[in-house]
Amino acid sequence: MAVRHPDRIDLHDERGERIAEDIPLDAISPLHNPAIKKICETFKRSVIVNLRRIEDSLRSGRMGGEMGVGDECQIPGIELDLPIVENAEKIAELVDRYVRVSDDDDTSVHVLGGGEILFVQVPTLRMYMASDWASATVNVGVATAHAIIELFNITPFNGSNVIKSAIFGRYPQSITLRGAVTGLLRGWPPALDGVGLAFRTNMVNDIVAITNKNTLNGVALSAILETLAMFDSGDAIHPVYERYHLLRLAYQGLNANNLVYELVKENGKDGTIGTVILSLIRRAEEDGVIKVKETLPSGFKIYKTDDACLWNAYMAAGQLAAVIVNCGAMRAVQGAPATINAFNDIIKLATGLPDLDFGRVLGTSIGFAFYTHNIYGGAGPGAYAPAGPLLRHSRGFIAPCIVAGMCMDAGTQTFTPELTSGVYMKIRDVLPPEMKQPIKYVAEAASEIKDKL
Amino acid sequence: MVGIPYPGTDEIAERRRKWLDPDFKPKKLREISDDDIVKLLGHRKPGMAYSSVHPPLDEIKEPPDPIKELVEPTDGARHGDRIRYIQFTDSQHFAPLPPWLRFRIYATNREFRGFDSLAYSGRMLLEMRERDIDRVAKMLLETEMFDTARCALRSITVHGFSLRLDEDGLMFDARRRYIYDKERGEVVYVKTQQSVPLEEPVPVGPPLPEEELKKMATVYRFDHVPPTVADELMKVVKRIGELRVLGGLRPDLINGK
Repeated sequence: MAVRHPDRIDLHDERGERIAEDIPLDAISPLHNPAIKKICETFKRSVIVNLRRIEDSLRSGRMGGEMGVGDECQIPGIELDLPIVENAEKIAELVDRYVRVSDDDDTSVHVLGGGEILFVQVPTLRMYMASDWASATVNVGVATAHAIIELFNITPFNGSNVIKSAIFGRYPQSITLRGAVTGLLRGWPPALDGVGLAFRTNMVNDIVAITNKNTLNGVALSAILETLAMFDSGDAIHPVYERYHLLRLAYQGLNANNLVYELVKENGKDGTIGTVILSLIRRAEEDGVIKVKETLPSGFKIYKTDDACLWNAYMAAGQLAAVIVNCGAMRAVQGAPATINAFNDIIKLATGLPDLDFGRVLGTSIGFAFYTHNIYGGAGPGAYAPAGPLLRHSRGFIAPCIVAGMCMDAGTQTFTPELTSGVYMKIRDVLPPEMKQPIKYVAEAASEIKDKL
Repeated sequence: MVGIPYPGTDEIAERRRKWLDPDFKPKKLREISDDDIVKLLGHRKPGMAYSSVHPPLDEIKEPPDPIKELVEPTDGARHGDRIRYIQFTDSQHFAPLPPWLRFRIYATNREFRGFDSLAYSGRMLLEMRERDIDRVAKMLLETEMFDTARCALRSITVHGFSLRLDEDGLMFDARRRYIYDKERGEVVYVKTQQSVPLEEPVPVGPPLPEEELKKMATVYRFDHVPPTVADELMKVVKRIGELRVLGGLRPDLINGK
């Protein structure tokens, strides 16, 4: 390994305390950081099976529905009354046996919620041999089907033909996966309209649920997923773009040099988006990130930067601080898209430098504000996934800010994390600590590897 | 605290800079009673208690979050108020503020901490907790941010910002929410912002003279301060456009420029 980028950063936790010092930027790269690798592989090899839903589908004959809410398909005569939840432990044992490759591998099967949820991690070897991440979901789904068939002695003559539909929904007649099984990563390859989007398919509320509404940890997990997606989609392949995204991850996602924390602290009491912008410009000038290029007759200063990637990362941190300040004052997420919009609109004219991600964030936020409001409102901001057609054009800069807004929300939304992502709250206890407190674990991992790079 | 920097030496730029100061307090031009403002907003009857969307923050048990403790919630948020709105349509014929500048003021001025906003098709929405919206509505309607003829409170049927003014100098409103009372010489609202008829009309004061509005103008117009004088603004906007395109290809291409 070799250090590719010259930058060195300090990492601070959600209390503003320094937890890692003089870290080379490469040490937080998904290609090197063990904690981020752990988060990546956990997302890919983890599967959630909703046993309650399988039991209810089989008992009522309702399955294969394509609607977001409710089920439009019910077939009388195919009902199966099986005590699946009651026998969750036995099903778990069988699934474990089918999925496991060797006795000492890293397979894990947890029964949660009184037998309603099965949380399965398939062994790494299976993922190594897989063509994509959906392999985990398919294998666990089929393993569950076999377990039910074996446990309850189901045959083609007494109903095995509907077990698949209860688990996988109408797939493969339809491209969607609307049954009782889902990957921890929500993306399902046939239903994704582009490569490199899978790490962005979890909705904002999923991230909020996993990190238990802890703002900066939610931001970190979201930023890590966005960064993984950038490496996945080819957006981080040129050294400049690799650094561009790593600096974004550092300053917006991991509170590098305590920038986000200090901006919020300075403006949290009575500040606005405007005052955050003024604080950010002052800080960037002090740190030598931007310099005055020319002073116009009115006294207006046109700034220049010798490091556009770093100034962009500073703006990403400033934008996050602005969202925390504004949505925090309102204790409501709905102002997050407007905050992002205003931040970029104002900062470009205040500095004479391009706004965040060279205008893409401003453009995306206008559409996002539009589609999260009134007559055009599809859903609350928390119910959007960054892979959606509205948000995907901003390469990692918006989703963490919406997560922050959602963590700040005191209960104003219809689409709450409890409603859309309740299952993520149930599985939180068995997730690795790296996912629940990414700031701490990524920093620790970075400290460990910094001298080995 | 200094304001947000903005380029330009002319009077329009000067006024934009003034508006973009976080501590700017606009001049009060008229008096509208608190009850009348509540009636115009149409969310509740005067004297009625505020409705809430969640319990007061003191009563909610949330997981500990250090960064949340750094941000002071607004009065309305603290009480768990419902989120309410006020929406303006601003005529392009010398209304004091164009919608986009309204948006930037909402985002900058400390009075509007904890806001949500959205512009679309000739309207500018402002949403805040109800206690907060009542407070800022007073400022929005009583000060130089509002002219009774060229600005209007409209939550529905906002059409009219680009239409000719009527014979009394009022902006067109298909819902006829307001009329010009010739005897009193002032504009009178007969409907709420949602166009629900008011039990008693609410007078909001006389329209400002055209000359006065020109002195307050914040947009460049060829029949007033033409955009051709905005040398600095054009220079900055062109620069941003060029650097966005160049940096959009690869960020380091704008280094040192």
